[in-house]
Amino acid sequence: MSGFFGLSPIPILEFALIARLLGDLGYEMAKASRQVKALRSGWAQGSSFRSPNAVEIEVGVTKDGRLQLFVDEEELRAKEGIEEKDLAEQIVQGYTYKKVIEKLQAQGYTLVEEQQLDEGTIKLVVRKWS
Amino acid sequence: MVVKEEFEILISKDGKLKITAKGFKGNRCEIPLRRLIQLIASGTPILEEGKTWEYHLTDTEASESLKLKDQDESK
Repeated sequence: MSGFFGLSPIPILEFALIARLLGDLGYEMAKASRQVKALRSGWAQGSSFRSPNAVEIEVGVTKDGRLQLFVDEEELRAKEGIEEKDLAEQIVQGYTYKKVIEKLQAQGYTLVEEQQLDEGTIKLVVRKWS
Repeated sequence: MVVKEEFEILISKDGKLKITAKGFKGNRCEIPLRRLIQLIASGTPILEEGKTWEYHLTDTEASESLKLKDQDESK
């Protein structure tokens, strides 16, 4: 697994949500959790995903609940045209988006506006009626 | 049917949330929003119309002690 880099771990607790998010971004699960877990000591759970252009990305959650990613940054840049920082941001922002939407809907709020702003920020407007 | 609560939520690329209360019935937020915030981070802030709070969903420190930043105070 040489040539792989670990991104700064970010505290994300729901691995299933990450797996769904990566699926939405076009990544397919490539290896079962048990196989990847064996590759990375200290992981409680993990899976390997393959990007639309066949870049392998290992995603795992450490025993203290932090997400770690391992990806060959040169391959990611060459095949997907993005930096590892871009991938991390896609995952962190996507995770936050899904988590917020899930909680708002559970609390009875309706999403009335969604917009992607120029700097990459997602704008949501939610309402509750009486 | 009238709008009881309206919030604008910004999610930055690094996952940071900024919530602005656009207005709601009375000057206190309803329990559901408190619960929402509690689910994201701990704390029971009293929201007032037009104010903005910022915090980071993936910030472990914020999850222990909600760090709300009033936009007005930051100016």
